[in-house]
Amino acid sequence: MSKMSKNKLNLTLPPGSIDTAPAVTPSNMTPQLKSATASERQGLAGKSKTSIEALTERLEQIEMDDTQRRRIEVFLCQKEKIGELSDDDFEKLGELGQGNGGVVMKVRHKSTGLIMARKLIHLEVKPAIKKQIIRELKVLHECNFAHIVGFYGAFYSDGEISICMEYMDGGSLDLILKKAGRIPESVLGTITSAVLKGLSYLRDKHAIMHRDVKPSNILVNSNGEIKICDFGVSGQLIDSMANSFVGTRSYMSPERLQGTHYSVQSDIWSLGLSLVEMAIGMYPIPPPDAKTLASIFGGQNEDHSPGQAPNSPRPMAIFELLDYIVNEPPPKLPTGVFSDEFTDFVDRCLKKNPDERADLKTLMNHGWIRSADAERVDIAGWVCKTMDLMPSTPNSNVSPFSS
Amino acid sequence: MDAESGYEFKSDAIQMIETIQSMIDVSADRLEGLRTQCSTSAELTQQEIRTLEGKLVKHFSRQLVIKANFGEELQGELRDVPSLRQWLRVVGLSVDAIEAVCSRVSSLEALRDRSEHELRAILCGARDEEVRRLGRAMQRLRSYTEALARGDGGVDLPLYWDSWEQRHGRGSPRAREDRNHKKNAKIQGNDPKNRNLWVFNMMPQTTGDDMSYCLKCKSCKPQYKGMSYRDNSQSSAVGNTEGSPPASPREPEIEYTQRNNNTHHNHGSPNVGMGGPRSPRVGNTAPMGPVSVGGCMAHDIAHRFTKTFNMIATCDFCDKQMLFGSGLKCKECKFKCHRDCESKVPPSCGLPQAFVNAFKEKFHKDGKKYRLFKGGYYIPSPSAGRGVVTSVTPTRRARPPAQHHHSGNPDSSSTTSSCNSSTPSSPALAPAPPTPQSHHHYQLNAGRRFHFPDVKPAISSPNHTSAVQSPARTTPDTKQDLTASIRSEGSGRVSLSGSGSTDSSGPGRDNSVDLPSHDDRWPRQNSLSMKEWDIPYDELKLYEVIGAGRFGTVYRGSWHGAVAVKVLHVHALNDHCAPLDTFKHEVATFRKTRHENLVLFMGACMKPPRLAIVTSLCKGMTLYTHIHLRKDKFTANKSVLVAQQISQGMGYLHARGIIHKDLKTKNIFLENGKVVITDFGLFSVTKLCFGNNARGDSLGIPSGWLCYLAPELVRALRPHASLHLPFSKQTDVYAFGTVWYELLCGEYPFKGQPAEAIIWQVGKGAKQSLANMQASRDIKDILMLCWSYRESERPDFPHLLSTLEKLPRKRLARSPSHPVHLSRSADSVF
Repeated sequence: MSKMSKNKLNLTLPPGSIDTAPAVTPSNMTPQLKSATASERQGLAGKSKTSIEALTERLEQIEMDDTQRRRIEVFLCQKEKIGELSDDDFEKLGELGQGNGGVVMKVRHKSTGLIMARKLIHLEVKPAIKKQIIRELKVLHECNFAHIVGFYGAFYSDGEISICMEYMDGGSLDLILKKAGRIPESVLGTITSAVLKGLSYLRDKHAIMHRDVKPSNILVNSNGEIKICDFGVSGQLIDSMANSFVGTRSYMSPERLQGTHYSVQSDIWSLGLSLVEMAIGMYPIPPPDAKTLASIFGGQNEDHSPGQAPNSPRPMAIFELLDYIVNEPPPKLPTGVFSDEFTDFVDRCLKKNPDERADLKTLMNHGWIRSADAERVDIAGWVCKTMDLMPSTPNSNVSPFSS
Repeated sequence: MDAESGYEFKSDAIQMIETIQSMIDVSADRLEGLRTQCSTSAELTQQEIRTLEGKLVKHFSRQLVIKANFGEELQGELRDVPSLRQWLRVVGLSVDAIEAVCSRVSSLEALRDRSEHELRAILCGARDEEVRRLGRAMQRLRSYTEALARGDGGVDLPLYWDSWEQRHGRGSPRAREDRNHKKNAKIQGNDPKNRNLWVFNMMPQTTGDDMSYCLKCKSCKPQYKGMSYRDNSQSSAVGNTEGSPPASPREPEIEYTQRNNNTHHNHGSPNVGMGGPRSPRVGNTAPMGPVSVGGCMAHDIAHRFTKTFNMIATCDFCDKQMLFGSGLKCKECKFKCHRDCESKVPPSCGLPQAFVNAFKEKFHKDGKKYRLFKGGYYIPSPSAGRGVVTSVTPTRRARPPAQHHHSGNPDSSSTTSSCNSSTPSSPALAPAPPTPQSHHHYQLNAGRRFHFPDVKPAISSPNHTSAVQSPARTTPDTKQDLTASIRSEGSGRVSLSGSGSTDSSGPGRDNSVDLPSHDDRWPRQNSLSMKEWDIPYDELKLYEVIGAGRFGTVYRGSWHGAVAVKVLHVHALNDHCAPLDTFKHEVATFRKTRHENLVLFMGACMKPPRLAIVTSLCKGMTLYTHIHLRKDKFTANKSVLVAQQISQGMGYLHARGIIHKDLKTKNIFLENGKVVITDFGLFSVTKLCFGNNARGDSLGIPSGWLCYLAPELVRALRPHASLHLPFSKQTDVYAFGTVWYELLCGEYPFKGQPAEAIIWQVGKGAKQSLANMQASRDIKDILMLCWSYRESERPDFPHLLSTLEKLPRKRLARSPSHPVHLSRSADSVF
């Protein structure tokens, strides 16, 4: 691996000096810029990922509690045993889902027994491009944070790029949403806090914006961990993806749809929209009419039944949906069902004008997030209950049970 | 010839100028002949024309330089040399335009000093094509003159300006000839200028049977008039006033005579061909003409030979066995012959077998008489012309009179050589003027029974005679017939050939039923049931995968030769489910396609789950590979060439009523500069393909696909599998716009934007900004028109083609011709 030779001195730099570039530039949308920032990131963060001590030291500078830090140490320990990955190392256990651009498999790493999520992205590109993608993906080695899905490595085999990630047994929030119908506000508060931390970590430490915040990219596990995944690390990968999928839902901000410059503020929109969807149990565009809302919230039955109906796809053309996002008033939480703070939080996220939209810092200091942090909701319990999981030990890699 | 070096003595200079003048005269005649006599759509003809243009530029330049060196001294003697009028004719201007220029400019030198803008002003009222042609030719002249003055030979300068195909169009704007362009053909239905590969040379007849011709001729008189002017001026320029002055411009025959007289040295050219001694046709009307022999027609469609390797067959020409790799095969009519025989094969493409036989018989019998004059013609040196003259003359004399009647076969063979093997001498001013008309006439009458001119008893081959008299009834072998009938549906050229007695079906043959016949006048052979396009899967050999797409996997395969096999991924389909019928129906429409720029559809396997489409194998790479993977840069000229060919192919498809639905650079191959469009009409097949592009409630969008979709399609996208998108001809045009953009910019429009953003923007009518694009206004206009939000505002392909053709080209690399496909030599463009 190319980075092995890089010296570790950078590791001792205080975080403040690292992120000279305040966040992502608004013009970050072009692939060239993306790859530029990627290599830049390598520069900032470049250091051996195998050196646990160094990373541990580094972790201390990041705001995490002891549990989180310990978990990451464990993860890094496991990872260190693995080394380079290749296609032969894995045993297929099942399919976890379809990500954007590829399938995600649950696999066992044969020699270590570790369970991983392996995302396969079909690519037909020249070797040079493959190498570039793998190189860009290595930035993920540096993304060690409590709210970022851990990364074991990436490799190319047989026409496909494989990205091996930490396996999150709770799955993604869209799966949970399907099962749960809706997600309680208190849980959402904790989830939102975690996502905001993850986003600001990416921005502050790696100058990355996510670009694809949505329920299916927020993962949970039976430890109660909440992590984001699938962020746009590799511009080349995005460019090379054969297919993109456009469905009944879009979380893309109005400014991005319009092709104008966009920034991290765009992620905030996506987060706000995801929150509304998870809170009411249906994608909120076009907004549900009063009757639908009544059927959702009227019976006060929290669980499964109400969630099903709204999930059925609407007969809306993709363009109509997108045009709605751009030209119609932004979605809101229904009144009288959620706390004012939550409602306000969502409203601040869903401003169509990105300049009026609250930024990450403001949101992290928002009352709703503060109270969620203080509340210490039992996410692990909620995940296990919802997904019928056994509460498990950290990095529940040992016993493979398929989801 | 050392004309450019200084001349010590005035007399030497004058002599030299005169020598050059004589060469100019020869070359000009030949050029004229090529333009008017030969099918200018044939590459070889075009190359020959270019060669001549180059030669003429050099000659004129030398004259100018020599003259300039002597300044005042020579002015008196050489005021008219070089001849402005002759130059303008060489350039290819119409009579009116020539007059206009001559009235305002006194000498070639004066004209040379005019700017392009001034030229345009001088030529106001002339066709754009002429203005451009003059501009280009003047530029060539200037640059070569300068090169001469500098002392270098200007060896690498491009000196041609592609002056063909305007000749017959004198005075009226004419659509370009397009050997494949059906639309054009239709438009030009009544336009005498439209003579594609078919050159029917008919002489006004003395026999009464030919009333039809006379009628036709009348209608065409103005053409003659134009011709006569030209001839007059030419003769004066050449100083060759032998023969009588045109008695009346209205008398075509007289024109002929005169021209013959003026250019007699060229007559011998084989091209004169079926006309034989051309004077005969002057007949009774023209007193000075020799004997009237009567008219005849010539079939003049050059074969389009390609090398063939995997066949053992018998040469259709010499009847001898052909070995592997030694053969050629005509892409159109499947005529096979030895490479060595190629030069002797008459331009009998699509000619009924009986005619070919008649020719062969004649050829073998008369042997040497029809020998070709290739040797002399290829000589590029200025002296070639003279050489030709001598070499040709005896032959001409040797020609037996009977030969004219030979339905032109023997003669047309020589025409081939003149056209296709670029034998210049042929220019044979032969029956040029009649050509368009006869053609015209022919077309008009095609619906009714057309009768060849009565054949005189002199006819040597009875076989032939009968064939002539029951036109179009002789059918070549079935295969040929089939191809012909398919062809006849589309391209102008083909339809002409269809009318030309070649492929109309013989008696007893089923006429077309399922082919939509816009014109019933040409019966078509069409009884083919779908069965005949059904290829048993077992007969296919599949080799490596050469591509994968939404439809399935493409293999290199073998089925009577190399083919591409698209195997569709279809799961669990019954034999009679609706989509399968759709598939079959669509497949049935593909067999109607036969065009230079379209992949050849060979058949399909239609038994589920084995669904496959078999086409010819495209060599070369896709435009996508060129543009996006190899990052090849396309110059403006190349882009235009490619775009023109795409327009031609697409225009043809649309004329066939087929909508491509998936026009994109990945479906366009470039084979040595020739565009081959694939995958047309297959898009809806995706519906058959399991798991194609829908996943749950989301729509899979292949990269780069969206930017080909017109707004109305984008707005109709739904997240579900069944894609009922409102494809239309206009959506194909939109997609063409994107291809055009890729060619010019090397990337997709809306590059780097996520699918959703593209959908919204395109759906809203936003277009990729062209602000950063380095291209002319004209080019951007084409793009914007193709991308018009309203479908009604998008141009159709014929219109696009003509717009593309009008684009000024700065540096003329061998430029497009008609049809815009590049010649066989790989280096011609790419």
